[in-house]
Amino acid sequence: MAVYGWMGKLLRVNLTTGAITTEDTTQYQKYIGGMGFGYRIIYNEVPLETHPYDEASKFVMAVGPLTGSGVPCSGRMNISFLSSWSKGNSILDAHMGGHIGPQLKYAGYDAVVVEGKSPTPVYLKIEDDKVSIEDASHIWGKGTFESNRIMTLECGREFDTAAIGQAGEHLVNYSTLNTSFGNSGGAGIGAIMGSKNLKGVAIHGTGSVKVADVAKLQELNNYMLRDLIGANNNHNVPAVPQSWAEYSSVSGKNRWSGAPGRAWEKAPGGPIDTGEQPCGDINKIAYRCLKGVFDYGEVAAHYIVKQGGCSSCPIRCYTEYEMDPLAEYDLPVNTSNTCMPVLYGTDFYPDGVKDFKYEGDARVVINGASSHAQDDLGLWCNYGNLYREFKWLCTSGRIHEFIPDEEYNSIPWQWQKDGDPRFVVEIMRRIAYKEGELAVLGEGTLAVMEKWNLGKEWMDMVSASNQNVTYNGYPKHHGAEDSAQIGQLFNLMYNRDCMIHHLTNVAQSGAPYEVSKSVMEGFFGKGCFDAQKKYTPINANKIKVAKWAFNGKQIHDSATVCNWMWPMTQSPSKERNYAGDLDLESKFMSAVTGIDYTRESLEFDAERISNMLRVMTAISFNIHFGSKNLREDHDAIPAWIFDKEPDFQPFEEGTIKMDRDDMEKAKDMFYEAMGWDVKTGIPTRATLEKFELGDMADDLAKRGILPR
Amino acid sequence: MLFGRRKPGFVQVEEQKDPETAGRGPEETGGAEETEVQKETGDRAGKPELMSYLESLPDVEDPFPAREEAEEEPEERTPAQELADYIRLRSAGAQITARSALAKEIEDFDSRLEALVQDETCKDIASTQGNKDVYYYSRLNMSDNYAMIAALVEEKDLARTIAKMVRFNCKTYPLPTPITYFERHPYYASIPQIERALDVIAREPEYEDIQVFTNSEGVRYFYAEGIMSRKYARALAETEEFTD
Repeated sequence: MAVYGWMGKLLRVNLTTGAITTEDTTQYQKYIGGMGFGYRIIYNEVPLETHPYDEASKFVMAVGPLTGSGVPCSGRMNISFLSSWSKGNSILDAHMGGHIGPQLKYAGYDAVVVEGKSPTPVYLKIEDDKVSIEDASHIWGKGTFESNRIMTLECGREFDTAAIGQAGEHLVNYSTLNTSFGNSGGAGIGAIMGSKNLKGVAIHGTGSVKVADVAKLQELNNYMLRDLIGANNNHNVPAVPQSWAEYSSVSGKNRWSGAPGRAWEKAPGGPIDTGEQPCGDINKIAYRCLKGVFDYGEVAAHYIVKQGGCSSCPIRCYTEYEMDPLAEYDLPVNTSNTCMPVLYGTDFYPDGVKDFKYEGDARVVINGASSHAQDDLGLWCNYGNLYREFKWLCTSGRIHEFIPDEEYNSIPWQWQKDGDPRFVVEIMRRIAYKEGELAVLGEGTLAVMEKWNLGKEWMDMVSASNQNVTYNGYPKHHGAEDSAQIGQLFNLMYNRDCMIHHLTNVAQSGAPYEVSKSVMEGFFGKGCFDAQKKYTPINANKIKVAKWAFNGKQIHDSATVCNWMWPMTQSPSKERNYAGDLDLESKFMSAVTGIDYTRESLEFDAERISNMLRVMTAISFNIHFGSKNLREDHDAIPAWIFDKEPDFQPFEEGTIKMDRDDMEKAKDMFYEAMGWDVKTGIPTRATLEKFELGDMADDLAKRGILPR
Repeated sequence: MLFGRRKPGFVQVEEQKDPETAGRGPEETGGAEETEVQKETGDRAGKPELMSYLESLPDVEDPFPAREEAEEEPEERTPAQELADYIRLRSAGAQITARSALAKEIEDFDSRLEALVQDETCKDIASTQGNKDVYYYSRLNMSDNYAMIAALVEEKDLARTIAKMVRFNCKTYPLPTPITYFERHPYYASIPQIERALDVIAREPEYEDIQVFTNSEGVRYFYAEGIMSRKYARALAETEEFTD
């Protein structure tokens, strides 16, 4: 039975037997939703020895009490499963925006648990309480755009759909689940679904989310939109000076790129100038982001139709492009994306690219081609490692060591030299179809290292190609460069790139350091926030920030709200001294659920999820490597983080190279703050009991890895 | 599905009727051809039409009634208040207002300005001192820093503008300033203009603290010696590999 916020029900779909059942989710509410639900269910039901592609493997698509409730930026869906490509094959998540998460809520579900394996290709159709497993044999083999189009045609335009592409079908580890607007769940979910012959999902709900205090919800909405929200990544000053704003981004490059003279130039009916967007004018928020200009500079405006986005989000960070030069190459001209696929296509052209129609538009057009191809194939990039490793392959001088001559000669290198967009499309196709040795790139960074015998030193090297933040197979995601030890710490915690934006949103906002420092110190105390490239030794207040950011990400992926926009740490309001409101998540949770959440109680629930992540990681490492020490075996930091920038010393003005002793001390302090054993980094029984995870403590004890 | 759920019956589809059969139902015309919407909604076609359903609901009290404001007689504005209104209007359009322009147009400008300063309702009107003039703006919709920038742009002394903003950016953010900063809104300087300004900066003693370097991506940056070290400025001008 639905309560406020939650729908009270999860859907269980067994693809082997065809059984479709529902269960009450009340027992899971202390895990909030989304990621929390997923982790508890996976832990309960999937032995961590299970290979991710086995029939016994499961995945959980879950949303939270705030999803689809009308809370700003609440369109996310979390998908939990076991990793096929990172060290330990442990628990991790894909996350996707768009509209499909809210649709799941409106259909009446907090989560969908998918288990088993269908004998033939199918897709899952959910229409309120009418749930069916539909034949997908006519869609299998098609890209995500065509697959989504067919599912929509078959089910109805009121459905939201997401599909895997050829990458998922071919069990490429780097694979996604995609909507047709560029919303993608990554981390290998495509292949997990592919291993189950599950092509996609189509969801439509006619219900609604029950909100406990609608008036309060509206009041908080207005407050957030009027006083707190900035632009994308909650950047709180504009990229160029605007007359109402005291500050602007000196570099001109921050995520509040809308400005007078910058337009959606290809908007139907004529260009739409984004103008000024003063703080407090809630009807102009959508003009702030102009992501394409942030990504490429003003030349991008020539190709921008509009800014699109997710459910309940005023930010509109998905730039929708029409890139007519691509028609010359018989490639699709329309693409919509906000993230990695539309940023790194030019890495496939180490010798450079040539402009097409406008001066400086090479990057825009090449990335348009690569983004569409990558989304259509349902290929994932491991937060850029795919591109970096291809570029390294081309520039290392060692390509012939790894790619056989026959395959090398079959690659259309002339297209690369010519800056032809078909080159990146072809390379991605080969990876998605697992063709040749090049396809190793799609198996993951660890697979590349192992198959090409690269050795640990490859992850230690100081090079733009190497952004690996641990030895586990994934790169940093806003690490030390934004927040020194804080960023480095939370980047160690997961089994994929961390997706935490709490600190980068402040550090890169464009606001003066003293302004941001004052905001952060107001929340966390003196010394918690360093100036850019001028960091100081670790201290207790920085640890508070690290813990807040780490647990905070679990809040967002469980509640669910967007990890790029939240939290509202800063504000564009001078009257507020640019300070945001860190209680806002709990205020919304209270208004929607009717349960009296505080910031502390919500962070407590999130810390429960953080501990589940840690326990499951410890168990996985023990299973696969006999490890009893996550500090050494999971949280080890590659040498380049300490060895980069040889002209500088740690803590010297101008560098972000970290200090080894300081980082070890940071780990000590962080583990202590989290209630983990300092020597092993594994949660203690006392900590687990505190979070009602005694069963997990027993499990650790049985395996001999519970700290004494 | 981009724009939200379209519930059955939401769209009224009017068929282009044959004049001979207009006014007669499908039974009379000899065939009930389904519209595209009806086909789409299939077995939902039996549900009531939305607008009729809404109209059938009982009236309820509007929880958000519009405020009824009594019509007020427009207050007579004093000359000082009119002046303030004019400055506010221009500020709302991101424009500052030069004293010289006002003095030229308004005969009793000095006395009007004095009255404005005394008027409590005009406390939002502020001024910034340029090299050539004084500029007025309203703090209701323009920030002090933007007024400073607008005054610099108005005075068209690019060398002075560059020097002042480079020093300001080094002190405030603190960051070196890329040359592209001055190509953007609201400066809109061209590269030849910037190069000429750089020549002035290089030779005039009052700008000797303004230094230039090129980062590893070929972008030129300014910084102010004495406020920021060259080493730190260069480090800040090197951007991390872009990630989202």
